[in-house]
Amino acid sequence: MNLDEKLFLQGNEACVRGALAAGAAFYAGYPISPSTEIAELCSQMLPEHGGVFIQMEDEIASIAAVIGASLGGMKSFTATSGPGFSLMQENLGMAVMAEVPCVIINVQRFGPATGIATKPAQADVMQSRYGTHGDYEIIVLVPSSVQECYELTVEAFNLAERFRTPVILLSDAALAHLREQVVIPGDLRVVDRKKPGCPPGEYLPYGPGPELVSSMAAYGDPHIMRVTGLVHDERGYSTADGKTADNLLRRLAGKIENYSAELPQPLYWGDQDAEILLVAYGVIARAARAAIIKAREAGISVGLLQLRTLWPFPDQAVTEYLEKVKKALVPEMNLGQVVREVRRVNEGKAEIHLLSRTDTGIITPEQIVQKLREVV
Amino acid sequence: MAKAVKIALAGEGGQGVQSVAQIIAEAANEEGREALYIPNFGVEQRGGVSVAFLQIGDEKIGSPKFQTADIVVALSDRAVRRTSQYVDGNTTFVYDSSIEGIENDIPRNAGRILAIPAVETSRSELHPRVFNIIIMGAVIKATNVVSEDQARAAIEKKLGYKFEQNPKLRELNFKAITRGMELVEKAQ
Repeated sequence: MNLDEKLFLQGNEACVRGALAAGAAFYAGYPISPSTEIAELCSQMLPEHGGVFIQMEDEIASIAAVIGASLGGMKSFTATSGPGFSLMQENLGMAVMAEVPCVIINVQRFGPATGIATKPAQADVMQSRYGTHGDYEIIVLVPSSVQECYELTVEAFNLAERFRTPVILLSDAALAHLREQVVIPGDLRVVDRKKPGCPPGEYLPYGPGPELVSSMAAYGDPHIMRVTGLVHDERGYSTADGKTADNLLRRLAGKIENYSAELPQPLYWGDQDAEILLVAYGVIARAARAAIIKAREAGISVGLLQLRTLWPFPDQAVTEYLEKVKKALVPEMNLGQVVREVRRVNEGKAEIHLLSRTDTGIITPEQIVQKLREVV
Repeated sequence: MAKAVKIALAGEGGQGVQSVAQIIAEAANEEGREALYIPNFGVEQRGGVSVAFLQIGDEKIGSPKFQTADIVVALSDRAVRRTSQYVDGNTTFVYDSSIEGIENDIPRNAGRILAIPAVETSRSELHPRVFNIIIMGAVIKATNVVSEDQARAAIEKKLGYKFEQNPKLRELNFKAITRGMELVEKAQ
């Protein structure tokens, strides 16, 4: 058994260390604030660990290289921010369609467009879910501390390999540059993609497999891996057949939807029989946790549901907690994105309020308490 | 347990407030305390106002930013104007005595106001390069968040490779900490 190690790290650094611990061997990217330290550190650490770092000409090429490396059998990833994430959307769809495991870290900054390069936001929630065209499911994780930057990056790689899908980690400009202690666990669960066990002639790279995910050969293996963004059959041959298209679409969504219990579940903090529920995620979950204590001092009993998986949205867990309260408050650094999902699963049972902050500042515990007073 | 000590350091980009905050945070972490540091800066490489928010305590620290600080250190005229919002009656407000044109901007509501000649001391006695280390000494004297020994160890960890090549730099940096501490002592 390996001993735990304590380090004092920045959020971006923790992402890189998490990636390496998960077995990442390839990074392609185009540096952009506030994600740049990830590229910088990868350029140092990946070669030291026998991996490869490439700075590409732009973000379109970066994710293309990441997909290529993953098809070659390497665990691969990139990091970017809003403008770069927008450029990646087309090939992100390619990775969904061709079922290519990879991790995209989006360190959110204030937008739209080039916005403000150094200020945080939580405004890419919907883009990370619906950014590329077509109908699909995607996994999006959201850390709230430097510790979770590490843990959820590891988890992002594990889930990418397990589900053969791109996984997005939504960080933000505040968390990226925040420094605090991280405990690096000595023993870590690392998942690797399943390799084909059948004779090469029988290999179906897009078959239903166990749990709707087929094994994955690498380029150069005897098992032929055909890759296309077109609708394809189980062998990987493109087709315009309606029934095949329907099966493919439903399998791609179902492989994630039907097994979403395997994704990081929300954490509950605060009073068990709270009168008001906070639903928070990312860096704001910290302010929400502090707000629970301040609210209690003010005589308001509050619970917090911290989301760690944003997509697929944890409908069941959120509904369960909403049923226990009459009112809920969603604090977020956007004009109201997760609050739409909370309202959707709520079905009119509780009264849902939004605390929206869009002046580039981080929502503070005091602001949450102030809003709680109004709501109560 | 005592509440976390909240520190805001502000200066012009390039003055080194972020490095100071990071070294103090690392020193506190080494001493087994809870430490959190978050920078705030604009898109400029140099010349913008750069603020470092630092919290050191004995319990896990939640929200990275705070509304009022226990100590605010401002190292330029713009930094003085920018950081007066973090001052209340319990705040120690420290600024460099060479800053001009701020007579009306100094937050008079502060619990204590200390003017220290850090720029002057670095120029006349030490070296402008260790200006921020003088500030570091001032901060640890005013807050007691880390011991002087631990501060030295943290600097050694950060700059040890430079000290190997030029041992005089070590002496210069350590002297800067001590002078920074003395400046606060004298101003109190």
